[in-house]
Amino acid sequence: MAAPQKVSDTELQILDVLWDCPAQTIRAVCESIYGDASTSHYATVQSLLERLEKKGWVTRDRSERRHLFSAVRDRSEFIGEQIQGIANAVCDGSVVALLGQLAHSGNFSKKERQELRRLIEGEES
Amino acid sequence: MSFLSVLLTKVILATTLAAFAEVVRRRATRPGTAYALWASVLAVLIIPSFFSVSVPDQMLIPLRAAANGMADWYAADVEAESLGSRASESVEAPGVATDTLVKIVVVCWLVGCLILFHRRLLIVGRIRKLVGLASEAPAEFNEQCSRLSCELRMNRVPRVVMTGGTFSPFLWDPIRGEASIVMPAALLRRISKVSLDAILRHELIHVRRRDAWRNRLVFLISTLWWWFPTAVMARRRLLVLEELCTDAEVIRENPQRAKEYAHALLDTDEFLAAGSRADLSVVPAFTQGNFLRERIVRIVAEPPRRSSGHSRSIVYLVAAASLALGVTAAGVPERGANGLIADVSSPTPTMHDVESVDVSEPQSLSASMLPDSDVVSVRRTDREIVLVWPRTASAENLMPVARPDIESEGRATRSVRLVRVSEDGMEPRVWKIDRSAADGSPLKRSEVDWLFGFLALNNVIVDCDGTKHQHPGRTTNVV
Repeated sequence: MAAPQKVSDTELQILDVLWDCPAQTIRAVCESIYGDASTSHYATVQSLLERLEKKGWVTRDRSERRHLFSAVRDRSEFIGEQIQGIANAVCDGSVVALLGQLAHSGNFSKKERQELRRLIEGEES
Repeated sequence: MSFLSVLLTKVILATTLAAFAEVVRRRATRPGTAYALWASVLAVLIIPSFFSVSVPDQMLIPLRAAANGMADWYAADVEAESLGSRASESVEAPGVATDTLVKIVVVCWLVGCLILFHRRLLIVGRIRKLVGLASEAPAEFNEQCSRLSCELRMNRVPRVVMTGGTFSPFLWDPIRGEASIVMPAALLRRISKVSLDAILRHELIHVRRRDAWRNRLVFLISTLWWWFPTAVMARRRLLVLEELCTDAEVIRENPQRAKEYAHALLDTDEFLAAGSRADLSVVPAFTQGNFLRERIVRIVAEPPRRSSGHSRSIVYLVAAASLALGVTAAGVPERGANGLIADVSSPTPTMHDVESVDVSEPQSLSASMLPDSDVVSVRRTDREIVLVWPRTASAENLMPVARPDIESEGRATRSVRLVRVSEDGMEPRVWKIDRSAADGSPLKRSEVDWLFGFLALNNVIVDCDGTKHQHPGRTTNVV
């Protein structure tokens, strides 16, 4: 699986707005984040949205005069992919030292897993 | 003790303890015992030693040779540069060389720590943001979590959050803020209520054991000792043992549910296998299967046992003793009540082995006065230390003595002369560190300690009470 494109913190802020209210104009996103839509803020949000569009996280609806932006993936999918990306990138256990995790993938085949299940049942009977 | 000696002591002690901990890990049925020992391996690395124990000198030779080799390698360059000015009486370069080497090591060490901390904190910050964005799991899961928290007599109830993706459920327990159990939404849909119960119990036991805090400490120490393989190994072992301890505790809390718990582990493994195998794993891929198998076998095959107070006491005693101990070479004499160094380990002294040398007038020394090429003579007064080295001793041996911090503090009167003898008397070059202070105060105790520590590190036994001792290879006589 290809590693998902990295998203910066400011880009994440934009995505957060789009997840809450899909199909937003640049001005609306700008007002959600900054509370106003001054020229500089507008330009910042515009460039961030363009960057997200290039990365494939945002789609633009050009059918209207004012373009509408929406997130391509939903929040849950995005977070899952990012966590997967971190997990795949960090394999030395140094970061996951800070997390508790339930199970490690045993890379078992179906047959091996069945054998283990029989072992579990066998101990019980 | 010098920087290198402290380092050496820590490395030897931690490695020895790690070997013992590994043996215990393989043989002991209770993971808690091995956990305590592996934790003390890391503790040894940060806690200062309070007592010293002697170990056979031969054990230390390879490590010491490595440490000295580095210093000599660096000092050789400086020595080559100073050959042109051999007539000069005062040479500061050798001491500077050792000191510079230590500085380089310290700087590399710190830079390594900073890079690793920065990198890891960035990732942790990222996970914090992602977990913060995750949505709350349906109320029924949170209610189930609250019920289990009550059963486990816990004050804190973490929230259950869910998100997309295929990863192992994990606990996020930040320093500030609420703990969260992060569950992949697909797993929540897939597993039975009984399996979810087992998974939540596992994560709640992590919270109850305060594993997040333990892991932070482990992370901190192993990052500080990033270059030391034993520290890295200790971190990995502790993370694996932590899982085994948690399993044992889950089963102990609810022995009749062991089967369900083992099935829940396999369900999670099956879920990970079906996805893209993104696994927040702490064990290398080639051992993962073995580890999961080991966990399952332990869960179903071994009855849950609480470690007895007796065995726990023994483990804690060993761990505590290790923390307090330091290591010194057997050849290093202990300091007597008078502050001087007394030999405690060398064989009974024989007077005929040692030549006494009067160095009160160093200028009159000749090679014939030092018949044994391994003899080092030391004269000590409150104002001066004179070391006379024989002609065959290498100049590099003398270099570390000219350490700048002996001469740079400028408060006490001190003079350290390093005299090297040639065939026809005094060699033109005399390493001399001489600083006369106005107050005429005696040599500082720490300076004398350091100097004698250096001699000890070089297998030289020094005795200042008039007796003369022989040590394999070198003999010292103090006049």
